[in-house]
Amino acid sequence: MAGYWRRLAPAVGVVCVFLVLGGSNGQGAQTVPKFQLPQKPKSALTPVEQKGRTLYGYYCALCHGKTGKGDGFNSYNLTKPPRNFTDRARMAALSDSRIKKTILDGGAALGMSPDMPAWGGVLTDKEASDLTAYIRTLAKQDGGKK
Amino acid sequence: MKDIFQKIFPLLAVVVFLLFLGQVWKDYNRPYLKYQKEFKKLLVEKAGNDQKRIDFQFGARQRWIEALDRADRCETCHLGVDDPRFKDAPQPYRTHPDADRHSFEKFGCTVCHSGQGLATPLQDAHGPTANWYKAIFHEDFMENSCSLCHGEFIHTQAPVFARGRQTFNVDGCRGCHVIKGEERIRVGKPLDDMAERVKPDWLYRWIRDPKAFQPRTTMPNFRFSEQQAADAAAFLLQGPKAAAFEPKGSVQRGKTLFLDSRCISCHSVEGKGGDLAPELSRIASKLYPERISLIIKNPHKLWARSQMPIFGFSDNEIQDLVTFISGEYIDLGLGEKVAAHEIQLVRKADKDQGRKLVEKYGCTGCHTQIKGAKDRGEIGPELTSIGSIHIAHLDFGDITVPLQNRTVPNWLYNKMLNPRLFKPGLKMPDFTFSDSDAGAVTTYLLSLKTEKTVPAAYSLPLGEPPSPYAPQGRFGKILDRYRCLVCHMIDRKGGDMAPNLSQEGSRVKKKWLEHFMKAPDTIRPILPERMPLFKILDPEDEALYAYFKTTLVDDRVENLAGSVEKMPLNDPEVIRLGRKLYYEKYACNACHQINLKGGLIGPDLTKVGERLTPDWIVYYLHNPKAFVVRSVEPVYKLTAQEIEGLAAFLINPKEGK
Repeated sequence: MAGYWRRLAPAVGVVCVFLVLGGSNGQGAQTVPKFQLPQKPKSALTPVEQKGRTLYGYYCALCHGKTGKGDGFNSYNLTKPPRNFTDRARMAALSDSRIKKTILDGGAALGMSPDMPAWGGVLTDKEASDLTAYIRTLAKQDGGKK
Repeated sequence: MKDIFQKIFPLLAVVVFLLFLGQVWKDYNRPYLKYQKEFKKLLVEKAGNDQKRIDFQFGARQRWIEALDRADRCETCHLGVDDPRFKDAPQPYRTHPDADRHSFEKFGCTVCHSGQGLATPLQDAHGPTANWYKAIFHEDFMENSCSLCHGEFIHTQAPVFARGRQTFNVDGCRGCHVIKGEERIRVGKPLDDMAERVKPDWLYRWIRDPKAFQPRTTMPNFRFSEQQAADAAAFLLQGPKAAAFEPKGSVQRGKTLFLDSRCISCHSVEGKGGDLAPELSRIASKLYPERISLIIKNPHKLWARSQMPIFGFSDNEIQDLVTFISGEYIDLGLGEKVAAHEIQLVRKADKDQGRKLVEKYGCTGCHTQIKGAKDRGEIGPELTSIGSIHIAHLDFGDITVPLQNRTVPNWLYNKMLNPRLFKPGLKMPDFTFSDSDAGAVTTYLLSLKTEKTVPAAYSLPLGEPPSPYAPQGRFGKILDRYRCLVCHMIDRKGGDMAPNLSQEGSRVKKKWLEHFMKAPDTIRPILPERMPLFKILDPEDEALYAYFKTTLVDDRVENLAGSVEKMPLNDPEVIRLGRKLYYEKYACNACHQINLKGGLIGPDLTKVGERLTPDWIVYYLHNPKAFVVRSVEPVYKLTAQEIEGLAAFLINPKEGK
């Protein structure tokens, strides 16, 4: 009796595999709706950096580019190309306070191109800090991709 | 017996003592101590050399907010919420991002975040547990709490909530669900003349999957079977059929007119163009040519809520347009056999079954004037207090959901994503919301609470209620005819696609305005949307200019007129100073163009003197953001002399640099 089952085993196994596969295929064909949980926001940015990103998209990206490479659509109309924020070596040489000062007082105040306006009349001190925090992440993001 | 008791007495005493010790240990070793120890370690790290200042005591923290009748112990573990040094720390220690606007002394935590304020173990505090169903809100739904104090019109500060509220109203949810205090809006078109309007095979396909034809439509998918869709279509197509109509215009002229009239400012063709009006690339497979001509002639007569302006085309021009549209914009992917089969399906279908479907599934929630079908009012459950419903009242059906996920927000979110998830055969149609739209609508629904009362001291309405602006008389008729407020805004009413016109009379010169109305051109070189060319009648013109110059003005500008007149704006020396400021000090050319040189962000300033009044230029330079809030212009504290120079340079003719 045992020998009989042993000889049958491969056949039984094959049938089982077919049943399992067939069953799962049948279920896969109909998409059964499932209970879903809201996804955690995927942003790797801190809340402060997220605030900075919103401001960046509104005021800065036109010239400095969405990804900070200094390639915004208006960058080609400027006398000097805007700063590339993804250049890690050059960004490392700049202090946070200098970046913030450039934002608030403009390029001319620091001996750079006057094409960079002074945003001190528009942005508050805190907003400039948020922006600085976000601009810092641009070099990191680019490094991460490589 | 006595002996046994004497023998085990020492043992029992030891057991009791151990139990006592256990109780003391349990009382001492609170689950939060783990977090407090870790926090202290972080605190020591952050303090660096200044170790003396570390003043940390172990133990529970509680904030009692008497006015809100709440006691929150969240800060027992969330120890860094008001310490800015922890802004990058891992949770639960991170600084609260909004601590400066909402002080913990006044608000506590749970009034916004929900959860169980008195509990300190992780699961009990965050919920839900068997006896506490109010779980802490997921980040995606957090903004529902904003409306508690800030009212339902909060917009910029709670964008998700505002989007959810907007979606709820635009998608016509209010047609089937009562919210007390909100007027019922029926967002659909009247359906009384369907047989004259649309082709039967199109209607069948439309009912089966509206988004396949019009990706931006708000019409939901009822998940009808083939037979059900055919029945409903057959019922709706009763009545007089479309008359034979052969447009005999010129395709070429029609195409030119289509392009010149800038139809794609609002409509899209194969996805390119505006997003205010329907996609047109397959429109001729939907509408009979005669109906296209009627819509172009007067859309408001067919549907009072239509956003399309009356362009004022002549009959011949309409013929040309219809010839072009009905020949060009047909569905090339549609097989003739398929269409014929669908027409057959509809022809053979049961109209009476169709009527029952239309009534049962609440088509009248959105659509008016369906002949032969009764409007049964709002057929969905009332949502006035859905945000404070108890979880036990929500039916999860056969879906098994673990206790920690059984929350009201999660239920609503899944209902939005998949309305028939919990029970097959439910009537609510599928709006095919994206995750983020479903989250936004859930956020809005959660804000609909009965216990909406916070003490008066907490109430701080933000945002503005809808503007009551509705001019009467001739100007009102012009606004209505050309649907100006679809794109422009006046006194906070209208769209934001085009410039705000509230102060246009103070802003532009009459001569420029006359020219612009005849040949509207864009002021900004890169903007894709452009003002359509309307056939504005001469008498309308006069009424328009009169209204602009007398009513759409700003006294802050008008009152400057006297002093601007005295400025030496034609003095070559002053102009030279302005030129220097424009190009060198402020580098205005980084964003503005003059004679095709300069940036593309702001308007072209070559002939700005012909467009703007000197008063406006002077006023604007004082503070560009004072009126145009959306402006991306920096605000400089210009001196009176600098303003004079810049204004003089701008209003005078300019040579190339």
